[in-house]
Amino acid sequence: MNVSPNTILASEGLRVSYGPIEVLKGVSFSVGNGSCLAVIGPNGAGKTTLFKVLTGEVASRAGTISFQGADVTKVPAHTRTSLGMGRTFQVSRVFLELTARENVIVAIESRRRNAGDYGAPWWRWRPARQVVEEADALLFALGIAHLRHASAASLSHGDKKRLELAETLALEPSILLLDEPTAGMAPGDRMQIVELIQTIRAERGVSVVMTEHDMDVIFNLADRVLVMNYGEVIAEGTVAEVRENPTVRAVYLGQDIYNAAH
Amino acid sequence: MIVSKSIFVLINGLASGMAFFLVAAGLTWVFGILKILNMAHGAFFMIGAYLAFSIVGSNPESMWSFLGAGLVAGLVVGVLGYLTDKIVLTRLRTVDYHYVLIATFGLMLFCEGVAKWIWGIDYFSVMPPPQVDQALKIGSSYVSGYTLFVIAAGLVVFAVIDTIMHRLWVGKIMRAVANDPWMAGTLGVNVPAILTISVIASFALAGFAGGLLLPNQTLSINVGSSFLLYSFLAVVIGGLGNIRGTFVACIILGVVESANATFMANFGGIAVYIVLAVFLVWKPNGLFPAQGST
Amino acid sequence: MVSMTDTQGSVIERTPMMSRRVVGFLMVLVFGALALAPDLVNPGLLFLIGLTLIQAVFALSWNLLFGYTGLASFGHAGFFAIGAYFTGAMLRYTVPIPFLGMLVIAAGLGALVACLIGLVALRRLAGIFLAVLTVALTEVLGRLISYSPALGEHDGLGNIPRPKIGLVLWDLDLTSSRAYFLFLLCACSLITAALWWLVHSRTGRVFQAIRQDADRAAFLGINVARYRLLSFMISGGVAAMAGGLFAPWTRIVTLDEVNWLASTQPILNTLLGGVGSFWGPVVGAVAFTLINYWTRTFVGLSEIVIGGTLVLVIIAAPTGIIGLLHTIRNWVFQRTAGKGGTHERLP
Repeated sequence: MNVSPNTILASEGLRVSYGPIEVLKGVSFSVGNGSCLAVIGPNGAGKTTLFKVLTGEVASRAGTISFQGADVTKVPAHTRTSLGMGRTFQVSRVFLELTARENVIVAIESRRRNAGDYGAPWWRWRPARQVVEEADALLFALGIAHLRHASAASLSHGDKKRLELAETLALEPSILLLDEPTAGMAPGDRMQIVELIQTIRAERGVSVVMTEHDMDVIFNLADRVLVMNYGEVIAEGTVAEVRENPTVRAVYLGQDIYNAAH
Repeated sequence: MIVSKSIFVLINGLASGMAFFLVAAGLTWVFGILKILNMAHGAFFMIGAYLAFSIVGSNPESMWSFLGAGLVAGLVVGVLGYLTDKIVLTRLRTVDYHYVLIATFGLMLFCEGVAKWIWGIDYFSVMPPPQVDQALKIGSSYVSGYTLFVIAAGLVVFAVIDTIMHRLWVGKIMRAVANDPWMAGTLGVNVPAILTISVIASFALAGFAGGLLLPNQTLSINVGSSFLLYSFLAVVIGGLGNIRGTFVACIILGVVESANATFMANFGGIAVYIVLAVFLVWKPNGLFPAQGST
Repeated sequence: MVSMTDTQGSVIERTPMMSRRVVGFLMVLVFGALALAPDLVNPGLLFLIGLTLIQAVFALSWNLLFGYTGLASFGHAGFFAIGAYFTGAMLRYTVPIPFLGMLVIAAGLGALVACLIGLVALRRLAGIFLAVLTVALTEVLGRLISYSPALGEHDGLGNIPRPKIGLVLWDLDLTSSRAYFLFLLCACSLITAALWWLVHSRTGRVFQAIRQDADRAAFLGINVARYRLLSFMISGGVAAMAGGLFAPWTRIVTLDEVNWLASTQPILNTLLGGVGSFWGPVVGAVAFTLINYWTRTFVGLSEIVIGGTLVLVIIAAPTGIIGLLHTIRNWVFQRTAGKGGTHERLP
């Protein structure tokens, strides 16, 4: 595979079948370092499957995935995470019985474990001071510092999304894979999440791959857009390019692309 | 010598395999549909055996009274199954499966306690009915008629269940419920009723098997646990919830057990676990890795 | 599936029943009372108290696996028996290994067996496979022991002498009930303290994360399979150590320690006391000893009571005794509390 040094994540000819149905028919794409790629397409286009293959949840039948120049096709999910691929879920997943702060602490300690440095002697059972401080700083950055002692189960939908994002950021990923980051949120909350992601990108320089239905979100965040249909990439380019693309227009069947959510 | 011994091993193995299957069938049925591994299954088998023993005594007069006692035991245990479902299992439908396992484990202990209380802790032995009590000569070895009776019973039960599951509309509904209860519900299937019927059928089968297998071993409070254990192994080896896989696995286990008892009598009962380990490594999803199909 | 633990709140920082200081004070008080027990109670009762201590540790080992890591073993008696028969045989045949060394080896054996089972069972469908394999382990062990004349076959391994521990400066003679009881008390307390440390440490946090959402844990970079295996090995090791302490106390080990009923014991104790609480298994072990003591003369009653209680606890009170106390306390002190699982920490 020919990967330019500026590419952080790339795939080549990914194929996935569920039984007799081929859901991904040779998907290739690449994400530039520090850029944001949005994957869009009608329901059933294979976005979610592509996402699962990238994160390691589903194995591909053929094709390769490379991350920071290394082949990670056969690497298990938890190792991909420790290499620097952080993900969130469409329906946010946090540890419901832990408090918000403990959720983030688990993530920070996981990162430190994989890096081989806990920052505290082995016999100390409480989290190290700098771990707690880092957790609180992350919660503050995501605007949920006041909820740090609340159990995750009691958080609102939007706050769970923020907490999940805080956990993922705690891993210090070099790329964020966001599965529908604004799914099921009120428009006001959506824009807050968009601003949040913008801030994160500006401050941490992480690259982003996201699936998203909301065109406003994509407009505000994405540098490039990958359009999928029936398990194939039918277009790739900037938002403007994609909007003018006749194939894409045909797929969305004359729908206003701004509302092409479902 | 080796040949006749092999035939002996094979026939005895087939008989124990069928005996395991009579118990495992109900277990795998309920697992396939309710996703519950019913640890109390062996205890209800044991209750069926005691019930049949209470009816027919140590010396069954005829085949008909013997079979009749088994049927009555099956019916009564089926009713117990209905009560168990109403009182315990329906409350566990939405609960984490670990707790369901533990609850059925508790149910097993409860049943054993009640059986001890009613029937005491003495051992009883039951003769086969006169029609199948003679020994038959096959090659140079003798096989009891009862052994062949157990094989036949196992085959008949398998044929009946397999026909129900794969040929009749009831079976299609059962499989639909097993695959996706929510979807089946939206298609108008009365899912709770199907679940309850499955539990009743499974328990009735256990009770009936208890009656049929009375002469197979001495009757004690522990009679269910060894059968339950082999059923577990069969269900795991065969593919969880798959009736055909369970059938094949039971035959394998029976023959291995019988060969073990004949050729390595000093270490009886160990070989099946080696087989289990081999299968778990070789085919972790079972012989028939079914996606919910029973 | 809905987890029954949803209503219990966080395992790490659930609203504490009592502040840590009170718990610590209580611990010292209980320890002191138990240390005086040999002089205060009759030998029969002392024997029961000793058994309860061992059962409490055994149950704690099971709950490390279940309540903290989300895996259930149905053959934990197998690990217990490994330890019990190992130390029993070593002492019986006076193998010259120091007793503390025996306990460590027993724990190592338990962990080794757990590792082998875990490697097979934890690959897929963790729950059901682990259930069946652990049940099978107990069965295989029972059979192997019943074939072994050295281990007493069906009669059990009797006449186990109590050990002497040679320390650097003086010898500790544990031959008397009083001396061994005090040793038992110290050993059980130390193991309990070690387990408390473990579940509150960062490793314990990983276990709890895995129980609550194994997939999410994997996407936080946690090697779920490895930590499940680790938890299973520690649990098996501690159970074997409990068995190792058991043999010299009862001075006989029989096949009664290697059956289903014995495997139920830690499960029952844990559920009775409360899954979501570290001290639940201990409370349950005490409660169970009391129940058993009052129903001991009636044939079949103990099974009926044990089995019935298990079912009842799961259907009616999944949080166990500690959960019930918790509810009562909330009800008495703060009627508004407990909405939607919000847990504010006490100051």
